Amino acid sequence: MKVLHIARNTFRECVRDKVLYNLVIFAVLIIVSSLILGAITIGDVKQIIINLGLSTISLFGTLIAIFIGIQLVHKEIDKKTVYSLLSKPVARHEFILGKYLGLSMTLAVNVCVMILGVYAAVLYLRHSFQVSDVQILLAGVLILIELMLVIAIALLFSTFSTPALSALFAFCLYVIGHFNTDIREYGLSSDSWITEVVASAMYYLLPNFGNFNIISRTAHGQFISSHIYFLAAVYGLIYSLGLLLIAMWVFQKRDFK
Amino acid sequence: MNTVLLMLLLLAGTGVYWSQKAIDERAGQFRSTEEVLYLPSGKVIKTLALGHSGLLADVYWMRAVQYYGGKRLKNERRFDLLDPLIGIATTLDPQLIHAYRFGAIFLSERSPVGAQQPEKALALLKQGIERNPDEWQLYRDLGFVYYWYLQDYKKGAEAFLEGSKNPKAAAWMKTFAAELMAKGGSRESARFLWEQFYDTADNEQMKRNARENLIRLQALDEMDILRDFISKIEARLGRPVESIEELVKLGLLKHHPLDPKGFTYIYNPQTRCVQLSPDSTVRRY
Amino acid sequence: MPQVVIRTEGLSKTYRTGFWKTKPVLALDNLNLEVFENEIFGCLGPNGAGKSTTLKLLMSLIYPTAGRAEILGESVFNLEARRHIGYLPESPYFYEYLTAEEFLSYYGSLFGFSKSELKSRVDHYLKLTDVFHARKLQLRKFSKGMLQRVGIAQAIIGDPKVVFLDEPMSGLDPIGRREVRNLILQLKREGRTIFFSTHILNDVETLCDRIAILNRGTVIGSGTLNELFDQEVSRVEVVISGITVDRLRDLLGPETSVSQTGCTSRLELQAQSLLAGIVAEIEQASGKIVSINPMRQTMEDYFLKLVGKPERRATPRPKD
Repeated sequence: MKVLHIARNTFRECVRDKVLYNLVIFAVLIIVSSLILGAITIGDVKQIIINLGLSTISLFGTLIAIFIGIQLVHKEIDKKTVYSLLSKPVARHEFILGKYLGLSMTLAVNVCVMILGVYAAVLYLRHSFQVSDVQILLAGVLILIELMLVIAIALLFSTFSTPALSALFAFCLYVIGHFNTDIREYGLSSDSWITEVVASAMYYLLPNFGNFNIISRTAHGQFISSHIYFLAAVYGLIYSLGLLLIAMWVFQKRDFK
Repeated sequence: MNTVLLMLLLLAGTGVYWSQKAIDERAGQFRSTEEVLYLPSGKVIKTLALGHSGLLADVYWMRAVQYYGGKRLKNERRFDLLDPLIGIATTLDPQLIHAYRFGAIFLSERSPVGAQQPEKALALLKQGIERNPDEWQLYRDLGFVYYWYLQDYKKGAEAFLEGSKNPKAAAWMKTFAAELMAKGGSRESARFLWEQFYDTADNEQMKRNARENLIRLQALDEMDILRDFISKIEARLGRPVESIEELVKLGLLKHHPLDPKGFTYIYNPQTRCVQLSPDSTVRRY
Repeated sequence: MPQVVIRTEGLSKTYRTGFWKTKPVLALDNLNLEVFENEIFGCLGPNGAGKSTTLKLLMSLIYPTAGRAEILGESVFNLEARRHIGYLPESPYFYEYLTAEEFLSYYGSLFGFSKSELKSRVDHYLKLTDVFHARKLQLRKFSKGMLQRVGIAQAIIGDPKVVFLDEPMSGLDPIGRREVRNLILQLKREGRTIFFSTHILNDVETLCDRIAILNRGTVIGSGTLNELFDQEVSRVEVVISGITVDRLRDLLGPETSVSQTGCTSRLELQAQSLLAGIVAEIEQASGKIVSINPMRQTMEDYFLKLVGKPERRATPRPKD
């Protein structure tokens, strides 16, 4: 499938990008340093490792997703490689899909590596695993779905905007997305119905990153209901799909001057 | 091609909406605030906030207000997150005066109105005073908690007195301290203080709470008047009165007196007390 | 009757520029072209004439504001038709982190070839464009000429019937230009149709069967070179030694077009018929005729006349 070929090439492109390596190495370092942190803190070290580890994966994954994502399409247009590529029998929407899958695959590999790092740290600390530790992997998967949503956002902006603006918008959406529940709560308790309607509209329209946050719970060894987990995953994937559809539409419509 | 994309987009939009609603239903509306249970202390958050602690303080403060308001609407009886939320907000922004006030009132109020944890309210206010020694109103609130919720007139008087030392403080702080010391306060003073709260409240919940308390005080006054009236009638008639309806039938009262919320007062001949109707929504404590 | 391979009807493109996208800029106006099978067709014009726009419209990289274009009888938006075309964009940049081999494999994979077929194609075209020796080298290390050749390789890897080249010679040294020119001729020998755009007149003269000349978005001339400008010998140049310019002017009249070049004089005659009389006069004046050269109107003259710049003095052409 052509989409897979484009994805494979995008994967290759990301893997050969120095920025990626720096971020991944930095993240792994932080996970390792959590062990040192644990040694000098009083309290549950395992909780700290998991908290710090998963938060690091989320944060660095987001940075990678944004900084590579905003380039995905823009670079090809800017350097005009898109000219020769689109003259081949490949549709424009296949191009977008392929780029998206390529970066997603890259991040999947990164998240795997870093989750292994967290597990290694836990193993080093406790010398064994508990049943509840599988939650770490589940949290990692949900983080990956969250990252795939961030990629979709960055990719969408990449189809029509410059990298600088794309980064700004993507970052803004990310921050707003974390306070989305608060916006809604504010709207719900407001007296003015206009505020309530606007706040509700924003709540459903803008990405709600709070849905994916099970880091704290995981650190406390608590299981999350499988229903909610499944729903959060579905939410993330469908939202990403929606953004991709818009990106495909924008890309389809534009002239490449 | 376009129509296919549009259809798929609509489907995606519906899917997003539906799944979000489903998550809300199952996980509960206040999951963002429940996270607080798992969060590290306010100090840690402050470091992580990277200089945006003011903004975050507002966020947590807002969450506290929503948490309180939300829980009340659903008649839930737990307020365990109220103290941590306000604690974090005030750690992030020690000058969030209205947070201390709000916390003091609603941590102290009896269930189901508040958390019924006046000790936590005291701790919060003392922290607030420590960080803002010039805010005389915090002393007023501290004194009020001692007086109204803990009935500790001595400590209450001390607080009012301490607060009155501030040249910006209202004049009545000193007189009230003296009155508390002397006779343990009066309904007039209580009404005065609650009217104060009502006037200076900066959000709906505080205003509503103050109004409810004022209504209670009014009802107490009315019940006292009724009791006196009934005693006088009994003296005149030379026999005990059975009920308030009797007085109405006798034409001694034009109509059955209603409490400020519109419910009838009840007279209990056994205890010889005027009471609120069991249906009445006037606060009983 | 040769088959029409590329056809445009009323093809036009207007860009909207300006801050509010209201100012229209006409890039191409009502282009009606036909390109026949197995010919080399040149699209000629100064910078900004609309050559690149034409190519991009044909490659459906941009959408026309009016008109339509067809390649091999199919609309340019038809995905499957792209199997039979190849395109080399202007001043191409390719993925610098890929090796030549990886790059061609990537593009080739978009055609859906089997693994073995792809491998053999990649090797074949790498050899054909003489970059096989550098196939494991990352493209960032390629010289401009090598990149251009890789570019042609990616254009023809699908074995296309029609090849589109946008300024294929730009920025190349003479060796590079010769290599590309030979490749183009090779492609024609293989039965393909080539459409290329350029502003270098010499390339057009040496390669093209038919051309179209564009200026400011419209076609101002099209057809074979012969059809376009009269290549008849009209003027004659006579190089003379032993007589000064002034002397020649005395002999032939003050209106004579004559100039001094070194120790010879150069005389320009408006018609070949005048030649006989002049020769006699010169010899009588003890002058020596060094050479007689017929002057054809060159492509450059024609072109410059068409696009409205002042005509330069005709330069002599070597005798065939």
